[in-house]
Amino acid sequence: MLKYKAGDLDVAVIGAGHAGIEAALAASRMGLRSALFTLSLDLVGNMPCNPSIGGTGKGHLVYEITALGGEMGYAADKVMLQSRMLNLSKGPAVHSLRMQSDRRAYQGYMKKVLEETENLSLIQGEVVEVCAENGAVTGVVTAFGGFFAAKAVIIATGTSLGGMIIVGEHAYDSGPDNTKAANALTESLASLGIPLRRFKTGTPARIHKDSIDFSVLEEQKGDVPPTYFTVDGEKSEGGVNCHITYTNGETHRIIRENLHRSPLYGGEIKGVGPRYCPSIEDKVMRFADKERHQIFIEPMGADTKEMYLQGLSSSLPEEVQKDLVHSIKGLENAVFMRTAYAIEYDCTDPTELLPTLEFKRVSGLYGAGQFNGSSGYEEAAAQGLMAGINAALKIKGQPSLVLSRSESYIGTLIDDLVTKGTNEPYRMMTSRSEYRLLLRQDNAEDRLIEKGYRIGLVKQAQYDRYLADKAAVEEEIVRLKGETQSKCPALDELMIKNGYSPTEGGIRKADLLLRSGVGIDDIYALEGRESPLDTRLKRRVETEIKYAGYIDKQRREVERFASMESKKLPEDIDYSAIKGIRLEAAQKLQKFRPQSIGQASRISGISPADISVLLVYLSRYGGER
Amino acid sequence: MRTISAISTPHGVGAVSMIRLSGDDAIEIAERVFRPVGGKPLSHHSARQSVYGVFHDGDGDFDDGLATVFVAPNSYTGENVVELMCHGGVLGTRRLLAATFRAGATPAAAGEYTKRAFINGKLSLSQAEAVGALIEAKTDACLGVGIRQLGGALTKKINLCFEKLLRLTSSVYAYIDYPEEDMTDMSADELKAELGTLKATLAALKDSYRYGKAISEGVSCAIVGCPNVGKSSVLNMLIGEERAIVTPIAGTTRDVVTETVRLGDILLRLSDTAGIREGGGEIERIGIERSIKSLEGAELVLAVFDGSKKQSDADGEVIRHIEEKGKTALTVGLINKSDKGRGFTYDTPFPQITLSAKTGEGMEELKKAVGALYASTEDLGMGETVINARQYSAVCRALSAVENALFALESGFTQDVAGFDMEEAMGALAELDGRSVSEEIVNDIFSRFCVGK
Repeated sequence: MLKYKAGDLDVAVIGAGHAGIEAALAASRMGLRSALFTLSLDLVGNMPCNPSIGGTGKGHLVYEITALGGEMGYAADKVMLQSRMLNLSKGPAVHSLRMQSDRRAYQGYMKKVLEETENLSLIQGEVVEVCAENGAVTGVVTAFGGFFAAKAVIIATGTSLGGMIIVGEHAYDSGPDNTKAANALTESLASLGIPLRRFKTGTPARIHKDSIDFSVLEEQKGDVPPTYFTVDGEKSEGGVNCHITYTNGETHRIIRENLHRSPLYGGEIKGVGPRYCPSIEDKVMRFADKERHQIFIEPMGADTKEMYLQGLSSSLPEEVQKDLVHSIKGLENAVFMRTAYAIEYDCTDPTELLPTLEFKRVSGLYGAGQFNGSSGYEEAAAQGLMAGINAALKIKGQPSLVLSRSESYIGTLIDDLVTKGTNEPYRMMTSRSEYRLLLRQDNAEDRLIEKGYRIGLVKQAQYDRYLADKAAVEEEIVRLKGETQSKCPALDELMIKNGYSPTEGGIRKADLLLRSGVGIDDIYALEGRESPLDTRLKRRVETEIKYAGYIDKQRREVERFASMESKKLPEDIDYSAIKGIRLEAAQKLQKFRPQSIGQASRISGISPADISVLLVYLSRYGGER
Repeated sequence: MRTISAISTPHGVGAVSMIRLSGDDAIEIAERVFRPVGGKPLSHHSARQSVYGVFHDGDGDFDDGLATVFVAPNSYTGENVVELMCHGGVLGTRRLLAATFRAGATPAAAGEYTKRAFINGKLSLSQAEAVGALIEAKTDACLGVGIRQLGGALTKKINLCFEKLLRLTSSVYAYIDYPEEDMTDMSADELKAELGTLKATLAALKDSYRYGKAISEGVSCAIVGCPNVGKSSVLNMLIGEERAIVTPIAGTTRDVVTETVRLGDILLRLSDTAGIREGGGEIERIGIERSIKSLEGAELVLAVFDGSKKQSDADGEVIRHIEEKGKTALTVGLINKSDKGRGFTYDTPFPQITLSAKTGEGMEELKKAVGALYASTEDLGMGETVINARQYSAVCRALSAVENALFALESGFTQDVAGFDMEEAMGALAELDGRSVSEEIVNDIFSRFCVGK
């Protein structure tokens, strides 16, 4: 192919999905000349699956992205149709915000932000080649022959790389939503020595709103007032409802009788699918004794009649899909607008990556999002942000930014991916974090904003507002710890109401808050005044006091592991030459090339004894002392 | 770093054993199990000075030896280290190890001292080879066949507890991670009930250590009573009955002789046997005082009375002292000299049997009575008994984490907090075979619940 010199970049980002957007914004906002390549400008920030942002674990990621100066939370707040805080009864650590989003408005918002960002070019063009010399990237080439020189390249190709859509007996090359598949790039990556494999995922049908009988469906309203991901962003009022219905015996019969026509069971799909997002045929077969499965009906936007059927992901033939949807209460006359499909795509093995998301074997090449084996918009955005930040820092000659497991879900996500690898699309869950009492949505800024500010991503106004919040929370905690509530009939009543005997005399306000059933609003009621803080900060104060014992306990756990994390392993260590190490361990270490003793100890199959041998070796042959 | 403890000398070999404590609280923990004879606390002695003193645990003094303090960073690991030298031999050394665990130390993992030494930049080349030896010690842990079988059954039981915790924890997290799924939420009451059952099982396992320890490490046994009631013939009877005599170790500094004998399943550690033997010619006062003193650390008391005579005031005094020391529940009364014809009745607040130390009559009853004191309260299957200090420590930690989870739920804390305690309990049990807790939870959620969009 004839090539021409089309541009000179610091950072080239391939793919304008949720990972690519954050990567490109971070790099350009940090002052680097960046370009974001997309197969189609109409695809920027697309949500090819459910029209929602957040959820358990994922909501935490969005708060963290916001604290680091990322964009996702601002977009979600602006186009929110419905906001719900999940897990309110399960405790502050696992409160998770989930928003229904207007899909088109989300894309419009993101495209505008990208267009208005300095140092950033948003370019429609298929990248067909990543160029590298001497183990380091030099640039990318587009399908029309444009060569863009670049110091760093970030791959965020989602399900478009080698994408293939499968519906029943039909299969064809395609990215999500019937877009073009990026097939040429796969070969280029393989020639750079990047190992690739096939993963799969799927999405349910979209049906016409007017064909749904809402009168027989359960309604699900959003929270009033709604909660938002950002403090200082623009916000939508929301107020749109979702609906709930269920599959039944007839639905399950249809699925079982047509199972042989599902490529999932016929062997058509080679890729590995996610357990957390099973197709309806998967659910019916694996959980045969379950009489019904829940279906959420979600709007795709405010200005469209398309409705999303959460829970009905499938790769059955179209006519079977229609039969099974029509067997469901309220959907008897459903008119299909988009058919459900499974999609198979190329992705890499994330253990090939450093914790900065840079490839170990190609300097300056980064991966983010589904390409790294994850799943979900939020997981993608988190990785895109970190890849963009680290690409920029490396070019600037500054130390990398790697978040630890103990300070963030983002760090947990990336450490899980690059250390343990994954055999299926990886989804964030609160149960994946061992420090979840420390990693709450409400304290994301406390954990991360300093880092975002230092690298120049967090705006001064956001940072100043954070400092003010922080001072207000600390001041209120000190006040409640210092002040005594004197004995009075209202206090006695509060104690009795919560099953305690009345106090002898006065009681410290913080101690009163520790009592089961007593909330911070009770304290303000006793004081006979309104809360001096807004709801967001008030809850922070309450959690910090009520859960202090548990929070301290987790902090001590963190300290226990800190020294292991800081013990670095040299990059050139030859594990096969270490005397006394088990062969299996040597092979694993050789493959993973962990960065620290802490990371090595989390690799499955590495025993404490192996770690000891490693430590001895290090001390003998010039490791750190 | 938390303080770890392990026996640092070869298992069951040599006249002297060394236990090494390393970590922030090493000196405090050492002070809880070691009392310097001079009276000056260990922490007031200069570093690297050997201090002579007495080892003790909740049950009293059990050995004497040396303690040496190394203050960070001038130690093997670079942390605060205390080396405790006690008399060699399996039982005493293990008892000291167990005492350090009770005083707050945790069992050291294989290679952990070396690991810490490295982390703190202390490891030298000459010590490198020692690591290999440590690793070997872990895999070739030489345990008696009987004990290994017992351990197998125990491991199964512990694994059952782990599986149960895994089920509960993954249920809690399935609801947390998938709040919108159509699942019947486990109520706080259900969770409490399940945790309550688990707590009972773990508590029974913990209790079984009393029996497990009794059969593996032995219990310290005092033979008390007035002069001339037949204490030494009881001693001789026990030693005569013994089939496999364990080491009689003569102390180097005091005239204490310890013998370990088997009575049924239970190992009895008889200390100051010399004192019992020479008791015959003593005046009454000294004899009783000696008895009272031996009550101090006793886990089992054999109170001997002369059944051929009427209960005397001195006998009453012995009984009163047993009560005052809180040993009533650990005592069996031996109404001796049944061979002399019809005995007198004794009024004791503890069970009694009639025997003749001279003829051996009543020996079976004695075995039963002593065995009954140590039988597990719960109906545990044969072999599901905690027999080593490491398992005991794991079970104790798991139990206390489960209790914390229950406490959290009862005092109105939310399930995320209870989940944290439950994971800690799983972590304690998992340490016994090194599983990764959070992965197990995620896998269990996927295999049991139909979740996802």
